[in-house]
Formats: sequence, C-alpha cells, structure tokens
Amino acid sequence: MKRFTRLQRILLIANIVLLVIGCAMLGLRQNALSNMGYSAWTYIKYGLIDYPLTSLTNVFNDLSNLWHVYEDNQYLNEELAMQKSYKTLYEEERNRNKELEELAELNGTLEDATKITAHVLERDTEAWDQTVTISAGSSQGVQENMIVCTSQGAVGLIEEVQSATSTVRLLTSEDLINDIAISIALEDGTTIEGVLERYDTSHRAYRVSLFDNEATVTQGQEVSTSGRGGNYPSGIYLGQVSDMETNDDAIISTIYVKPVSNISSFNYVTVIGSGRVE
Amino acid sequence: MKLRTSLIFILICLLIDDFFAFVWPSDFTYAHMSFISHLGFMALMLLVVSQSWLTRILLSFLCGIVTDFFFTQGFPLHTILYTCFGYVCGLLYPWIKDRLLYRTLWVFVLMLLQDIVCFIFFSWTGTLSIPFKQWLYTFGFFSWILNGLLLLGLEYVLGVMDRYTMIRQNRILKMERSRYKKLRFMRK
Repeated sequence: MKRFTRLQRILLIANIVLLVIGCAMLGLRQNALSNMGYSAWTYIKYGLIDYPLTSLTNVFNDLSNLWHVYEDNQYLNEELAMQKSYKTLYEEERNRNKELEELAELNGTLEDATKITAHVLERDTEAWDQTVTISAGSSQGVQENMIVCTSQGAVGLIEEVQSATSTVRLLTSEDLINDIAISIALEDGTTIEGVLERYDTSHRAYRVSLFDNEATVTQGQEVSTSGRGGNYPSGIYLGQVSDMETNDDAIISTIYVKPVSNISSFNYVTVIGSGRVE
Repeated sequence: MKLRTSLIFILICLLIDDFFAFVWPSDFTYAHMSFISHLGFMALMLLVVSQSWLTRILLSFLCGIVTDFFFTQGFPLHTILYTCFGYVCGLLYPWIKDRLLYRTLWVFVLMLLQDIVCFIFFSWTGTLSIPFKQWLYTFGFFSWILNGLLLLGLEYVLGVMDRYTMIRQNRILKMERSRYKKLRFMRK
C-alpha cells in the first residue's frame, strides 16, 4: 500500500466498497434490502430531477395553451359580434328575395303590357311619401305617366324620365300628376268605374270618386286600374275599399281605398305601360 | 483540482446528462434524430488526462461503476469502458499537454469511439438491430455535433476553475510569505 499515493488509496477503497455493494445488490436483486436501496435512489432522482422538470414543462405547456385559449377567445368574440350583423344581413336578403319573387310572379301576368324592372335608388327622408327615384330611364323604355308597381300593387306614376333614371310620384303624394282611372269588379260581373283623385291623410287612404252613384260598394272590395287614359293597362291592383262617404241623399259617391301594404317600404318595382317596348 | 471537487464536478455532469435525457428523450423508433449527452464522460476524460496511469484507472473505474449503478442499468459495460478509455486517454498526454486544441480533439475522438464501441456491443448482444448507417443518421451525427459544442463549454469551465484554483493558491502563498516575513521581523 506504500506504493500508492493517498489519493490512489482513497480511490481504491471507494472502488472496492462500491463494487461489493453493487454486486451484492445485483446478486440479491429480489431482496427487500437491495430493492430498498434502489427505490431510495430512484425516489431521490425523481424528487431532484424528474418531478421538477415535469412540473416546469407542464407550466410552459399550460402557459402556451393559455395563450392559445386567449387567441381562440378573441377570434370567437369577433365571430359572435359578426353573427348579429350576419343575422340582419340574412333577414334583409330574405325580404328582398321575397319581394323579387312576388315581382317575378307579377311580371308573369299582363303579357301585352310593357314591363320594366328597376330598383329604388333614392328616397328622400323628408319627402318619403312623395317621390322616389328608380334605376330605369328612357334607355330602358320608360315613359311619362307609366304606372309603377311593387309586388303588392300600384304605388305611383312616372313623373320625370332621364336617360338612366326616373322620378316616380307616389300615389300617397299631395300632388298627383294625373288622376288614375279605376274600376271595381262586382259580384254580379259588372264593374264600377271611378277616378283616384288624391291621397287623403285623415283617412290614410286614396280618395276615389265613383261615376255610378247607385252602385253597391262594400268594404274589402278590390280596386284596380281600368286602363282608360294614362299609359298603363287595366287590372293593376291599387288597394282595398276601406270606407265609403255618403252624401245627404245617402248615395255613395266617394270611397276610400287603402293603399298596398308595402307602399312605405319597397326596394324593387316594375314600371308597367300599355303596349310592348320595341 | 482536488479529488473531491473533481468527483463533484463529474457527478454534476452526469446529472446534466440525465437532465438532457429527460428533456429530450431518445427516439427508439429511429424515425427522428436524437441526442445523447456524454458530458460526464468528457468531463472524466478531461480531468484524468493529466494524472498517472493508476489514478486514471481508479478514477475512471469509480465513475464507471457510479454510472452503471445509478444512471444506467448496464453493469459492467460503463465500468469497463470508462476504465479502458481512462487509461488510453493519458497515453498521448506528453504530446498534447501544452496544446489545448489537440487535447480537445483527442477527447472528442475518445467520445466518438466510445459511442461506436457501445453500438458494436449492443448490436453483438442483439439489443440493437438497426444498420450502422441508420444509427449514424439518427443518433450519431446530431449527438456528436452537440457533444462537440458541450466539450468546448466544458473546456471553458475547467479553464475557469483551474485559473480560480491557481489564483487561490497564489493568494494563499502570498499570505504565507507575508506571515513568514512578519515572524522574521518580530524575531529580529
């Protein structure tokens, strides 16, 4: 042993001790003592290295997931906010679609008449019930005094025509450019004729004077154009009888006709004239 | 460096190896590249290279046995490997002792050889059944490159520790000299 340095003696002793313990542990592998030693070291290693590292890794994973959750949340919030506007857009498109379907149905009738489809370009809020500008003009064949209809029925007359647009005087306006000749079909097959003079704001209906004072008119009867005078055919729906005015002799000479339901709000119209556009 | 400091340093390096193995576990399906750290082995080689042959063998044997019992399950593979490489690493010491680059390269080569010897052993015992090329691609290259970088870091750390030890010794020497001078003065 004197040949060895102090360092070498220490190392030799340490090696021998470890070798003996190690071999004993291997030899007694199933023994509780060796298992205890192995388990102790495994627990130390787990406590010092594995568990802290796993915890640290989990922290970073959770933080990154949290960031992803935040981004997802932002995205979903934006989508939700958009959802409300999508809903209103959908409702609007649905209503327009319905209006166009009804207008297409109207365009299927009146085969001999001129029909020009247009949409509303401008409607002044201060003169909401007076005039409307539409997207059809002389280049499409629009002429003055043509009748303008929505999907429900007549709403106005063409007042001015430009090349690509036209101004429509609504039937609810105070100054109609022309009287409109109307007719009411009776149950017995006869018709009563009259003329739509103006819109009566107190009754909220058109004021119509009848030519035949002895005719029997009841509420709810449908009123349409007669085709006499004006640049439009007969049979275009104007409204329903809402009220009658009797004079001193109990003779009905004036009736009130309720306008079509969508006269306050429409986007698409058909301009109807008598005869085909060449 | 003192024995106690050296042993603690090697133990820390072995623990760092374990840390790397935990954080970046090896892919034994050999589909992706894996990294196996040899920081403990390289630290051992760097610390024993300047020692006598017996000290090298004993220290390497001790580290090998600790690795086998506490870090791996393959007794006596690392015990024998570390002992052999520990003896071999000091053989070229007279020619590389003043050249840091050659010493680093020598330790790097020993690390490569240790990996290849392990591969040959495991292939011979049937534990590994992949071709050498595939092993090289999935384990070898990536591990060697990163271990090379770790080796440079290790050299730096050991250099700093050596300088610190030297500075400390110089300080102790200075203090002893000044004490001796005081004693002589007092005697006079």
